[in-house]
Amino acid sequence: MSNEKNFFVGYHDRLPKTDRRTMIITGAAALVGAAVFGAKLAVHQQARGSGQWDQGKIVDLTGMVEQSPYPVLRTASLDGQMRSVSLVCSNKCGVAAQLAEFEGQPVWVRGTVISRGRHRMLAVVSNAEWVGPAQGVTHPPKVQEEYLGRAALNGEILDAKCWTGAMRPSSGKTHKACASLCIRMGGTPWFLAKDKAGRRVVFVLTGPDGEPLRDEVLPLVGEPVRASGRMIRRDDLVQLRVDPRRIQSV
Amino acid sequence: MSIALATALASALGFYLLLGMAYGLYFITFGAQSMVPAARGSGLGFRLMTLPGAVLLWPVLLARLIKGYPKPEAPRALRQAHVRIWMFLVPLVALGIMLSLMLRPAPPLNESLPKGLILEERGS
Amino acid sequence: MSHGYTAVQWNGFKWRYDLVVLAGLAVFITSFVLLTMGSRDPGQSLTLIQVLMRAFGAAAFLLLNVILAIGPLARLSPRIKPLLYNRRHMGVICFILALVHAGLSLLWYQGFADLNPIVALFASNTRYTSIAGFPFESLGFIALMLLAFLAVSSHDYWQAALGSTLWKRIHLGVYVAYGLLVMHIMLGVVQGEKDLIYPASVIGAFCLIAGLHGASAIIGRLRDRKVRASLDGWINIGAPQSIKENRARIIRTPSGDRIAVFRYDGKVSAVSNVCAHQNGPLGEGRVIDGCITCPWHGWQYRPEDGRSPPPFDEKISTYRVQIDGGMVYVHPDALPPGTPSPPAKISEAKS
Repeated sequence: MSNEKNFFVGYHDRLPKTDRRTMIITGAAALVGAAVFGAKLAVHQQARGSGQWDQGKIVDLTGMVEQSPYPVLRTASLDGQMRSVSLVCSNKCGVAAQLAEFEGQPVWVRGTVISRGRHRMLAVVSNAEWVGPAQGVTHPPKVQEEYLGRAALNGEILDAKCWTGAMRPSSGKTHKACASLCIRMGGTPWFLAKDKAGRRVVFVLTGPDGEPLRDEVLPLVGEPVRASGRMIRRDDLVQLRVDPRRIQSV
Repeated sequence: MSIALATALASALGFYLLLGMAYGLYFITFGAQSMVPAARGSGLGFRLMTLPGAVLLWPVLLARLIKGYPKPEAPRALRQAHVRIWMFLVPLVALGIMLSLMLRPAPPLNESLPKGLILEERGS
Repeated sequence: MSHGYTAVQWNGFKWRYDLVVLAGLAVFITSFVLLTMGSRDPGQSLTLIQVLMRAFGAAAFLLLNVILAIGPLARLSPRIKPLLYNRRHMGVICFILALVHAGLSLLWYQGFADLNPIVALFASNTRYTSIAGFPFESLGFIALMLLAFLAVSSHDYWQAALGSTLWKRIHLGVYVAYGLLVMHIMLGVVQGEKDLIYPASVIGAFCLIAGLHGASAIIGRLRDRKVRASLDGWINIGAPQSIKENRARIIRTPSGDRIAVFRYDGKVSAVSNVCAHQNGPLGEGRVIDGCITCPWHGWQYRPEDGRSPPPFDEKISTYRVQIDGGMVYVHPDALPPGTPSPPAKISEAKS
């Protein structure tokens, strides 16, 4: 009877004709739709910057350790140019404790370079000695400090290492928990501000007297905030010294 | 959520799974067929495939083991339950969607940036 | 079914079905990954692990929408019914995709720290009282747990072991998981990505799924005539000839039960409309080889006693039926599942 022939029963090996046609059309539409929709979702994502982390290449740098507010190696051994290279862990942790005894001394440091634009960081190797006193290092000139005035800016608190190249995306909601975790565990908070023309500046975020910030800023990491304070240039990094209690959600 | 509370939650979850695995051992040896006689003589593939179920559903299964197995019941279509769930879900999710769009932060742009700073490259 | 269980009862249709589903997902994920990486200058894109996170998350949510659309669509058009047949495999695949998404996110965002990643997931973002800042990861985690319960119990064995009603109730959890996932995306990636395609896709999908469920509930209600019992309790269904041969008419009794009244072989029988397997609508099935056959997965029952033919032993409720004065009458009180109830013979003179 034609009725029975047109009735789908899954364990019968041949599908009724109408069902077979429906299934073939549905299957083909699903494949084409999946390709198109996947492409649509992909191309509308925002560009995420050019941060890079070359984890395959281990380098040794020599320079002077500066601990406060966040660990930095003042060195020219990367490319001959005097730079403040931030020192961070390979994982989500800080290096301040291990560097304490080397404050203001010449050291060698071993790690992999994270770079974005003019910024360089060194993620120290975790499976071997990575720091020790160095001989014959010429003392770099004294830190050039300059007061640049006050600023009140909208922007986002982010983790310096993620932004410089450990992660892309390294800002915004999906990365918020990760950035909070990094900073909680000893990462360096930076502050990214943009203007309407798409220009952007980053600051090292510190307390009012240039002291490190950590737990005070955690809830607002990765969210649009307004921060105000004094801008201090120290060599090639600019600090934004803020009262963390006055950072506001916007 | 505080770390202490989150730790308690994660521990509870781990404990639940640990007990589930203990029950799973019983299940894979005797439990499967004692609950459903038809499962006697089923192959290893079947047992492995149903094992994760035993690990997660152990409280229900244990209760059945202790309290006895309920009589087979006439199947009921749960159309009313479907309606109730959707009645509850639609307004709640609609409200959530609206709030998430209304409170979605605008990009925190500034009219201008302080002069004299080195600009960074594009890309968020 | 009841003669020993196997891991999966494969057949040709299931193979082809799974193949198309997996191919579709592979195409989606490949297309997303290649275009994310390829549509920008090198170094302006996302890191590969973060691309994969998004690709698998999006694929899981897309598949979940397809799964949820099939049920109501099959009610609206019988053409869709074959898609129901292997929906279970899609559910398990969806869970696996979600698990990969969660694993990558947990490793990359919450891992590599001196803290249990699960603890970090709940504790690293503390803004539970904010909407825009809300830790959306926790919603995804709860949804994943719910999907885990559904995936692990996606075997006929568990329906037998848990009982059909409890099993079905657990599986209603899919709607809760769906709601949580909509919010997981709205409070997550949609807060960060500026393009409208992301909120529009999620909201469109939710409206579609909710709309389809609403439409199928309303149409189901209109289609199944609610009938009144006459004084002596019997329900008049109409002339036997008004039911198509080997098909059924579904009626809704005053107490809300649905009865499927089948006409076959010059006889009329009435059984519960609910299949013992996954509660499929038997009244939308047909009588094949003398057995009522469920339109969803082909489970069969004899019309005269509601029992599956040997070696199976599933049972459904039967109802008393009689023909009087050229009209079919059904008694709305269900007989215990598997009780023989003599079919009413349609007299020759009338047909």
